[in-house]
Amino acid sequence: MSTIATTQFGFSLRGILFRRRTLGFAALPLLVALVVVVVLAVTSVPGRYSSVSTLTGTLLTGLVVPIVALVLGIGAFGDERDGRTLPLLRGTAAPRWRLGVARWAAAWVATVVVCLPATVACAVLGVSVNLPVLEVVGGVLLATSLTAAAYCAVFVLVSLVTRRGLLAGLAYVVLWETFLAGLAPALRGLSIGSYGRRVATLAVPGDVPLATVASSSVTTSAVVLAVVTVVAVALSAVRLQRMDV
Amino acid sequence: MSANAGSSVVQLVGVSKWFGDTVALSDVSVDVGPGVTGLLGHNGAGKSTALQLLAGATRPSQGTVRVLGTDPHRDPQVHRGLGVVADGEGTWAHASARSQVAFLARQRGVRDPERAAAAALDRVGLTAAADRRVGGYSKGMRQRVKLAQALVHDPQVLLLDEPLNGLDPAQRRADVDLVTALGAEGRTVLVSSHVLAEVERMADRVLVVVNGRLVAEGEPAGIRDLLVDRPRTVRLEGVRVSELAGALLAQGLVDSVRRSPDGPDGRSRGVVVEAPRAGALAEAIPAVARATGTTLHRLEPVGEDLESTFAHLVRAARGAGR
Repeated sequence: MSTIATTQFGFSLRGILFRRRTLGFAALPLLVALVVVVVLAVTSVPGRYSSVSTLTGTLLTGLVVPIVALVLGIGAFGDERDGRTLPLLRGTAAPRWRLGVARWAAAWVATVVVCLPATVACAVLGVSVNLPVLEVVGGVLLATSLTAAAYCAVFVLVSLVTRRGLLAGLAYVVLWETFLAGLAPALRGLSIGSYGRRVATLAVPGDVPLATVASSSVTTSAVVLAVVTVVAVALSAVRLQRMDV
Repeated sequence: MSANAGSSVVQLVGVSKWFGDTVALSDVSVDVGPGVTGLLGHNGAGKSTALQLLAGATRPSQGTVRVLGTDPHRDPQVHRGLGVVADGEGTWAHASARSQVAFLARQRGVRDPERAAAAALDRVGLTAAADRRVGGYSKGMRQRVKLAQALVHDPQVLLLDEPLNGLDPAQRRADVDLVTALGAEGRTVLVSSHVLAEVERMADRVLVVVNGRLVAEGEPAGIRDLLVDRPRTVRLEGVRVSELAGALLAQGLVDSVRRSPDGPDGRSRGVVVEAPRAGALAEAIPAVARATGTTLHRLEPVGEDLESTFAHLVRAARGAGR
């Protein structure tokens, strides 16, 4: 990536990470980490077993990652629109797709960083019940990263399509991802979270169940998340090229 | 219509822009060359829309926009030679002035962005505060950061939307000098304002936009005459105003005199005169009033609304060969 794009990425990342809103939402993953500490302190090893899937699948991948990605992904362009700095960002000689990629990458990295306490905590919990270290750590990290990438890409796109991106994204997370996608197996094929939870099964192998996972394999789920990411980032680039700012 | 006629750097040809049912610009054609050109109009006249079109921030609903020979909305390369101070906030509160101006310099392909940022900040008088977060700046200082952002890549064309907003009188003077200097350097500067006096001090030529239409163009003095010394209906109230009106009529300063209808309380509301040139009337009244022994209590224009101003400017523009 060129210097211009890396500068754009660095400037965007600093802007996203040091926002008050980001610091406020950083409490959410910290809360998950706190819950893990409590679980480790008060339950025996067999008792923790089901907590691994609940905390990793339902809480981390199913709630914390989408909420943090929503706030940071929408803010990647939404705040620039509100602050009237989007014309400045677009008003450069650099190709506009680079701006879209850099902003998505910044939102993605920021989301992964903000979710890191919860990710590490979930991995520690998995290791504590004697699950294979490599699979647990790799699985939790991969699930968080890929799910965050897809959610961020979608929310960055939403922020370029509507000025009420936060509201639209929240409705999507709450109604679709959390509620409707859990009603029928067929709907899970249209849920980013269900693919993320399937990837998270890498971290909880064997007979540990995860609710509302996609029926596809882990590899297919990872590919689906990657495809969603690429398509959404590409659409953001097209939107950036054509939209009025 | 052409402003600063010569080599055309900025061009609108038959441009209209509408948002739903609202027409922001209607069939505007303008051709601007090097020097400072003022874009004058009331709030909501269409000045910002015109500048946004030229900055490539939005597309015209109809017509063609050209800046440096290219479509600014489609071709990002135009931004190598284009600097914009847009309406609204337009700064990053979390970053220092130096870091954000240098960041934009890098984005625009400047070879030594740090040095260019320092020079731009120095030019707008922000060197001392350059390393502070912009979130802690006053409105005037943020306005200057926007100017530095626009200047950092040494652009050939500058579009400045109300750049004096939020500045104190000393800062206004400094920025008027800066804009004038930028024009003298051979850049094409299009600067908008709703205050004629401001535009007069900066611009060699003025474009007047009223209700989305370009209604007049010319040198600042000519535009002032158009706006100020135009036919007006004026009400005179006071003691012996009939004598004053008669004297004004005799001197040809007014075309007609009529008694104003009494107010709701039954009191006389003086006389109403039709003046072909309001400026000449205003200059003559004190001496004529002294000569006729008139004590004026009130002198006010009647029917002074935007529509009448617009109608007058359209007539005047047509008369000038538009």
